[in-house]
Amino acid sequence: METTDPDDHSEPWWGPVALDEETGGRWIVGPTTLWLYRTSQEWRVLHRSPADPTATDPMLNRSRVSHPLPPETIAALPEMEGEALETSRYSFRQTEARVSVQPALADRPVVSRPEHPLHIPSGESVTLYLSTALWIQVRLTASDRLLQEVPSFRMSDTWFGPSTVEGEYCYATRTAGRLQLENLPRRYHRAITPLRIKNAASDALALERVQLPVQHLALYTTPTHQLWTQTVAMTRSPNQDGADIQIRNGPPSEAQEADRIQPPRAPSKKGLFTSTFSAVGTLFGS
Amino acid sequence: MEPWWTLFVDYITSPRALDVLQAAIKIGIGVVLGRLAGNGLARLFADADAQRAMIIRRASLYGIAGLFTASALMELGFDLGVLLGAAGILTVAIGFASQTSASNVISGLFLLGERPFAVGDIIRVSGTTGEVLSIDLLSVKLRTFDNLFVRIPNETMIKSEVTNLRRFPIRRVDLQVGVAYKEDLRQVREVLLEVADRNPLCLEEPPPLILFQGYGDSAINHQFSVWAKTENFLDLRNSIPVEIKEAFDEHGIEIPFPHRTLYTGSETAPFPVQSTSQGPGPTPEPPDDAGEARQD
Repeated sequence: METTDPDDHSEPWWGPVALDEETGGRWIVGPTTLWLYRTSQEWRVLHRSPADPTATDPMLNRSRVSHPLPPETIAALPEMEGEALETSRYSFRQTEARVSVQPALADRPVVSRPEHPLHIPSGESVTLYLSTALWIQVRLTASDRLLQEVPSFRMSDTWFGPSTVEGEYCYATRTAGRLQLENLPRRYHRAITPLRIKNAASDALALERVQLPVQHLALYTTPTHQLWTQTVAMTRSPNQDGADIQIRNGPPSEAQEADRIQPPRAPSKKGLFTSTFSAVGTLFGS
Repeated sequence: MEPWWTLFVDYITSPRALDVLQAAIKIGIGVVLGRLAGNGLARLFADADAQRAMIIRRASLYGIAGLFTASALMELGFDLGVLLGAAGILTVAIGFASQTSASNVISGLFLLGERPFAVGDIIRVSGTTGEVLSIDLLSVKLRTFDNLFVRIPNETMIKSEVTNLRRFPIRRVDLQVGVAYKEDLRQVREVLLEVADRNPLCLEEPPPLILFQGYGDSAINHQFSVWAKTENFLDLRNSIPVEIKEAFDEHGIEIPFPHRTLYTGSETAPFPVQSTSQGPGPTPEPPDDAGEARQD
């Protein structure tokens, strides 16, 4: 039985895998564990329900792939884990042997909130490194069909907009707002987005929150299996409350040699505009 | 005497009958064309909007069928001017006779113009909550969540308070939370905010709100308000109370029920309390068994 070494982190958790009938595999990515099981006529995808985020530490940094697993392991799963497992079955006339497990960015924008407000004086420009949780996609390689995708960590929902009437439904995450790349911990289930903010306005910019349009970003991987997205540039012009967002083409300058492994979920629109940075009005009183 | 059927044959072979037939066919064509045009226009201009599609369909059906009917009547020799004049007088008579229907029709037009809700919205009208199925000439049809069909006259709709539950994208869940007087309110606050933070359906922004409501009879009452996406409203409303109870149990915070203290005034001695059970258990053991146990 060939089982990849659990401690060998040189191999990424994503990539194609061939599974024989009546065998399965296990992917441990960050706080999430995902099992795949193949029979002649169905694919079964099990994953630990993300309903209780307290059970797992969101920053848990794991990346382990084990396959093939015998059917007994999969059959024993529901009892063994003692936790809520979500099972989905996909039936086919004849299942394909090859599946591909892929990372993907979130399906909604992510609102990042620095732990402490960051002030950017007039005329300054900074680069912030933000990391966002990835989704795990299970694809059939030959027919290029998406079986299922699960978030590696279920981020909390949030609302981003000028009022409770208009705005956008987003994910929320907190960030340490790191300015140096060396300080950024490397996590297998998160992708890094370089965010360049330029404050061309005459007053200081208080960065209380920032909305990253991750559904318009592509995902890149470096030869050392780090995941990056395109650079997002935000420019705040004089007499403007929000900022103009621009998504730079190609991999970020921090990871020039990176290859694209996932296209953006949604085509990027010209002139994305955001009314970002500050708290959302005082409309939420009693 | 001629048999009746020769009369009938005479009649249906006369040119007049042919005209009537022609007029009937014309009206039929008008109805069919109106329907087709309505469907086409609705597909063209109101792909996703069910309400606009309904209005377009009706307008084109009534308009085109009406034109064809008028043309058919003219062909039959009716003078439309006279007809319209007669209709004017008739309207007054009918108006008096059918005040309710007329007021419903007018109210319906206002409802369509004002658009307080659209087909597919969830609305609450005087205690009835349901999904709007259609907005018609005389009434609005609702489907309640226990799958009942409710017809509400347009006039009632115009006059009464209507709440649209789906108009805005996010909603707030308000919960009343009472804690015992002995609890540390700061800790209660922290625990509640942590519960909101842990629940992924609970929006981080707008932030959860804790409002002091008052010193109650047996509890200190707070209102705990959290926001959810309108679609997730029910899920959050059902999951948050469970999580609050769990968190309170974990931190030893008591959710009290009404207490009653008996007090007989400062002059009297305390109530004499006598314990009737020997053991610590709530139910005393039967005397026979207890006796045996002592003998052992």
